Amino acid sequence: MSEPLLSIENLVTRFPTKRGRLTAVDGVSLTLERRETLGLVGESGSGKSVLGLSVMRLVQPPGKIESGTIRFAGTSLLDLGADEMRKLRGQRLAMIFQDPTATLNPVLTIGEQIGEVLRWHLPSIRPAELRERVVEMLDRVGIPNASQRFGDYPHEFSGGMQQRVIIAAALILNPALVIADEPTTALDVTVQAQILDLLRRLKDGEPETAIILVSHDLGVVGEMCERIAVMYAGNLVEVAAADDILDDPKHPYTVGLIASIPRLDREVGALNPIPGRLADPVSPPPGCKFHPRCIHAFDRCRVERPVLKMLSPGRQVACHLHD
Amino acid sequence: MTTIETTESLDPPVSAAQRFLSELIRSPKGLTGFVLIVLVLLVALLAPLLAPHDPAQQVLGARFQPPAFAEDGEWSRVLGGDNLGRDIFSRVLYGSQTSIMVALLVVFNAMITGSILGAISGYFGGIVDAAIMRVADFQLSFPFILVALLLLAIVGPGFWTMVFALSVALWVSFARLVRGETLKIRELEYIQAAKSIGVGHAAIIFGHVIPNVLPTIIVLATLDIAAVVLYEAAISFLGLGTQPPTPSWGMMISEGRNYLYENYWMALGPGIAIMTTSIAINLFGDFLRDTYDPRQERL
Repeated sequence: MSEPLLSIENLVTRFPTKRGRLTAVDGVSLTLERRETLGLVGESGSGKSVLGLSVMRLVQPPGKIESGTIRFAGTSLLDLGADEMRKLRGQRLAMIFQDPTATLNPVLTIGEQIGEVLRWHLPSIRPAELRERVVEMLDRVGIPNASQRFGDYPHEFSGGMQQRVIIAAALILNPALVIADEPTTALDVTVQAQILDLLRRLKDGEPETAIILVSHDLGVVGEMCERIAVMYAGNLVEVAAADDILDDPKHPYTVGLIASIPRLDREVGALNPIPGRLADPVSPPPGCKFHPRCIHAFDRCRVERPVLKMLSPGRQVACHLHD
Repeated sequence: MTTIETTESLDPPVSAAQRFLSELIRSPKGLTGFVLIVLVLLVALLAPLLAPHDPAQQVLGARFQPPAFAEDGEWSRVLGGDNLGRDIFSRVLYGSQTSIMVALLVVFNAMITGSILGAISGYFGGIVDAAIMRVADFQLSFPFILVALLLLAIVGPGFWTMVFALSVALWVSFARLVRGETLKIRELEYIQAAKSIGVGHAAIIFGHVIPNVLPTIIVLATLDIAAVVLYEAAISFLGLGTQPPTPSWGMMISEGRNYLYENYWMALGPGIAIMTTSIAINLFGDFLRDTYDPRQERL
């Protein structure tokens, strides 16, 4: 088998805080094949965004990647100099953020902002060609009258259109990997569907684009992704094909996540949340971090931290119940 | 599909100059400011042609002569005469040359250096920030006049020394303002997004941070222009700035201060001139911000 596009080994990302070191990503190992779409799910604070930022090497100081390796298309990202890393961003690696309104600079036109990617990575590009490529990309992401919209400011677009502009900027150089950090959370439901549809369409048309879709919405992820990785308090607790996870979740946390999705097809009295709160990332509970909230917890869970084990080919889970 | 308004986008493209003029005509504020600024600049340029008297000529009979609108005033000396019998109106016209030149040069220098240093300070933080801001704090702990005097004492009095000394005194306010705004902006998602497409630090500072602070910088600059006119006065008053007989508004006011009770008009002419200039610049600065800051268009 050829080398995967991205392989993360034992990645640890920490933030110093007044109370002590906050471990946002705690020894995550994950691989991603070319053209694959992987969903990364977990509740707020589980470390999924920080994992995405770590791959981009954009963790905000004082946060720091402390150990581990990230190999991307044959290069070790953590060994690259700042300049080499900058050249990869936008060209081979791209990111789409959660809130489109905040992601676009309010005082620059969208043409300038998308064009910036081209200007940085293709310094010799002629202005006419730049404009042509930006307009073509705007057209591909479904902005009507693309050539007239080139000089418009972000506030002249609706939220959904702004997210299309951001997708255009992220994909204009055909990166091999796009990390989409909750790309639809700030949008309303009908627009959400359009944006997901757009992402899927762009991915299918494009050779070699893999997507990591970070989301807390299992519904969205289940629809979009081939594989799903579930994250809890900085650890991956379950990684498997999307259908397997949704139909037959193995980890009690995943079971809880699926059970807490509100359903319209069943008569239920109330929502069905997972009891308790997310483990404290500064001083996590000993043993399995999920055990204080787990109804199946037994003695071993309280002392020994489970590791991610292969259950069957392509199916990994970190839980003592499945030993 | 969401519907979007395309009205503005379908208009034929207009040049920047056309846009400026059409916006200016629609804005009474901007138009007033613009006309006054043009007027003041014209006066400065054409002072030798407009002035009825030699601004340095002392006429004994015209000492403390009241202005034309007061009792005993004469139309030959519209704004009256000063303590040495010089024509105040002519001195106001000539004074505009020095005052406006100093104000524009100083504010320009201070704005450029202060904004760049402030943005660098706020963006990078850490030791760079500490170094720049300690210099600023050090300077703020002295009255600006002391800093200026120190420089003038080292380099010697003169027009350019004064410009330099005032620029050094004023950059701090720009640096602190821009630093504060930059601290806020650098945490915003669009800066992270710019980094995520591979934009370098310098381009983020000049292309993303400064354009967002520009409206605030312009407002501070317009306020500072009026202040510089008065600072120039203070330095000239101490004999270290503009050298007599060259008139400047600030120097005229400080001379007039001694006679304010009996002969108020000595300070009246230059006072009105300073006020008009600063109002004009403020109005025009406001107009520029309203027109060119895209954030203002959001309704």
